[in-house]
Amino acid sequence: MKIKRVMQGPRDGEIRCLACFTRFRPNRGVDRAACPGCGVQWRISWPYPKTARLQGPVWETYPKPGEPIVKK
Amino acid sequence: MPLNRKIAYINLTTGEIRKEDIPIEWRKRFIGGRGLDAYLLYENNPPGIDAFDPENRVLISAGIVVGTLASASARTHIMSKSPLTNFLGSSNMGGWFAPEMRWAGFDHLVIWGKAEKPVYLWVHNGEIDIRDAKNIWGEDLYDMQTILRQELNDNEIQALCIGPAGERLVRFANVMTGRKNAGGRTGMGAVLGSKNLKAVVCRGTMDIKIKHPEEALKYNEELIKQVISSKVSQTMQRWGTMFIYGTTNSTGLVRTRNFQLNQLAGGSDIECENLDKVSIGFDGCFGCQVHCRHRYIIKDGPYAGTYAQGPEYTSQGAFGTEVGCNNMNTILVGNHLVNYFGLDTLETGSMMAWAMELYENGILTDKDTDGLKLEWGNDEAVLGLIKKIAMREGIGDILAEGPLRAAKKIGKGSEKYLVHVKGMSNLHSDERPTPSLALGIATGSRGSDHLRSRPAIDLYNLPLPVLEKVYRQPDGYDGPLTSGYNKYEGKPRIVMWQELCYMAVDCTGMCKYHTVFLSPNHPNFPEFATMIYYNTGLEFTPKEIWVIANRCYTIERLFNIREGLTRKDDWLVDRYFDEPTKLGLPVAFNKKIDRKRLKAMIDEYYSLHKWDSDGVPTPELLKELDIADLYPGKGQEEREES
Repeated sequence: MKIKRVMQGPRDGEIRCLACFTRFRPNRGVDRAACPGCGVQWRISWPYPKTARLQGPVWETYPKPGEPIVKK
Repeated sequence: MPLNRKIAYINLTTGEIRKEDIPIEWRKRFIGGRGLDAYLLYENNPPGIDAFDPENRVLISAGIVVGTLASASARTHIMSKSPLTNFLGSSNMGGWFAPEMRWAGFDHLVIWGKAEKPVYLWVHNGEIDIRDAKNIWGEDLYDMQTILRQELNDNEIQALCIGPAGERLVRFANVMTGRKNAGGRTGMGAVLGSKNLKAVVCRGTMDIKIKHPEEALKYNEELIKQVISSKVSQTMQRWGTMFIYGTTNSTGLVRTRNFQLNQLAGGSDIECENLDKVSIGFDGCFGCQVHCRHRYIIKDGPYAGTYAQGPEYTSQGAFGTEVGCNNMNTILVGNHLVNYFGLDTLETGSMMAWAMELYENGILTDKDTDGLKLEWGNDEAVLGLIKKIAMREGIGDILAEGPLRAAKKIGKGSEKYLVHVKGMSNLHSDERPTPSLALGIATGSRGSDHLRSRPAIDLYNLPLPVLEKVYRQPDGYDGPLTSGYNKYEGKPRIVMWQELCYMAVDCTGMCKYHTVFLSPNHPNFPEFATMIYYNTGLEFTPKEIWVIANRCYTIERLFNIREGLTRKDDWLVDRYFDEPTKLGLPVAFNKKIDRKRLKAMIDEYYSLHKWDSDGVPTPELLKELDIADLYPGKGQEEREES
C-alpha cells in the first residue's frame, strides 16, 4: 500500500525547521538559511543540486537552553 | 524453487551433521529467517543453560527471499542465548553471506557442541565439512577472509567470522562478513568463540528458481522506485546513516558524555559532510540500490593509509558524542578497529563512556587504567581502550564482561552510571524527550535496542493522517494514535506495529532501511506479502504476515520468560527519570521520562500484545497464534499454579 502524500506539490529543496517544524525552501545552493517561521538559523548542505539537507544549527545564534522558540 | 533449501543440524563435539528439508508447515507458520530461528531456538535450547555451555544452540539463517529478485534481500540472522544479557541473543547483518549460503543449498544452520580445536565450517553446494582453522585462529577479521580465499582457492567465497574479541569471549563480540557488515548486538561472536568455531564459509552455485520471474522482476522495479524516490534514501545514498546526526544532534537527542548531556554542542567536525574528504566511493549489500556505506582511507595519524568501510551513525556516537570526541579521524579509526577486532561498536562505545564517567568521579583511577587518562574527548584513550577490550588487557578485561558484570567487579556504586536495559547498553540516542522511543528500548526483546521496535519516523513530527495510514493497517486498529514525539498517549501501538514490521522483514531477509524505519512511504506488510508471493509462490495476505510476525515475536518473549525475564526487566535505569536533559531545542530541553506514564504505556503495550500484567503471553493468545503446543514458559506455569 502506497501512502498518499498529505502535502501536495513538488518538495524539491525543501527542509523542515527542527525548532518549530515549519517546512521552508532555502535558496538553491546556499549554505545558511533562517527559518521563516521562528528565525532559527541553520547550516544547509546539498547532497544533490535539488535536495537540501539540514546540516546543523549556526551555533553562534542557536537558542540557549530553555530559551523559548517564538513562532512569528 | 526458493523453498527447496535445507536446514542442517551440526554437532561440533561429535562432528555429526544432519541435513533435512524445511517442512512447508514451518514456512506457513514462521516464514523463515529470524522467525523460524526463534521457533528452533525455543524448541532446541535447554532452558536455563549458560550461554557458553556447549549445548547452547547458535542458529545462522537466511530469510525466505534472500538471494532472489527481491531488493536488498541480503540479510543474515544469528540467534542464540546471549552471553551479555542471559536472555535472547539475536543479531542481523547485511553483506553477501546469506545469498551465498542459500546458493550453497541451506537456509538454516543449527550449531551446538564444542570442537576440540579451532574449526570452520565449509558449506558448498549441499555439502558441509568441518575443517581445521589453525591457519586463521588468532587472525583479525580482515586478514582471515583473505587467508580463507587463498586456502580454498576461490575469491567468491563468503565468510561469517569472528575476530580476536570473539576468540577471547568478549561478551559483546560480533560476527562479521566482509569489511564492515556486522551482526553486532548481544555477543553472538563470543558464542561462536566458545564453540571454537572461527568461521562459516559458503560457496554455492545452486540456482534459486523464482516462482514468477517476470512479475517478480517488474514488482522489484516498482519497489526500488518506491524506496529510492524518497529524500531520506537519496540522502543515505550520499552519506550513509551518518546523515541522521544532523537532526538528532541539532535537536538534542544524542547521549553525550555517557548520559550527562544530550548534545555535542558546537560539534561540527563529525558531521557526515566531512566524510567527503576521505571517501573513495561507496559499497552496498547484495541486491541493494541504496549503497549506504562509504569506502574510505584514513588520512591522519598512526593508521594513515588504512582502508575501511562505514562508519555508521552508531560509530559516530560510540567514538564521538558518547565519549565527547569531536574528531572525525577518531571515528574513522575507531570504526576500523572494532571491525578489525570483531567488537560491537555500540556496546564498546557505551562501555568506554561509562568508564570515562567513572574516571571523572574518581571511581576508576590511573592505577586501574594502567595510566590511560580516561578524560572526555581524549582520542588516544578511546582508541587505546578499544584494543584493551578486544584483547582483554588490564581494565579492558573488566569492560569486556559487559555492563552488569563489569559494574559488579568494579563496585563502588559504579552501577548507577550505567545506561542499559536487560544488561545491554543503549545506542547513543537519548530517549528522555521521546516516550515512544523510551518504550521501545524498555521492552525490546534483546535489551536496549534501536532495531527491534524503534518508531524512528515518530521523530519526523508527521501529521496524524500519515500516521493513521501507516499504523491502522493491516489489522484495522482503531485505538488512539498521536503525532508529536514528546507525547505518551497513542504510542504503544506505534511501538508494537514497528516490532512486528521489523520481525516480518527479518523473516524475509530484506533490509530494515527498505521498511517504515526510514519513511512512511517505504514498504511494509503488503509489499512483503507481494514480494514473497512472486519469488516463492507462497501466498500470504498482509494480515497473515502480521499474525506470523506476532507469533514469532511471542515466541521470543516466551524464550525470555523461560530464561527468567519478568516485568521488572522491561524498565529503564533511574537516570531516565531523575536527570532532565540539559541542552537542545525546546522540544528536547529539560525533558525526562515520567515513571507513572511509562508504566501506563507498558500496561497498554502489554494489553495490545494480549500479554497479562506481568508481561506473560496469555493462554488465549497462544491458542490464537496456534502455538499453544509450545511450553508456556516458567512464568506462565507459576502463574497458572497460583
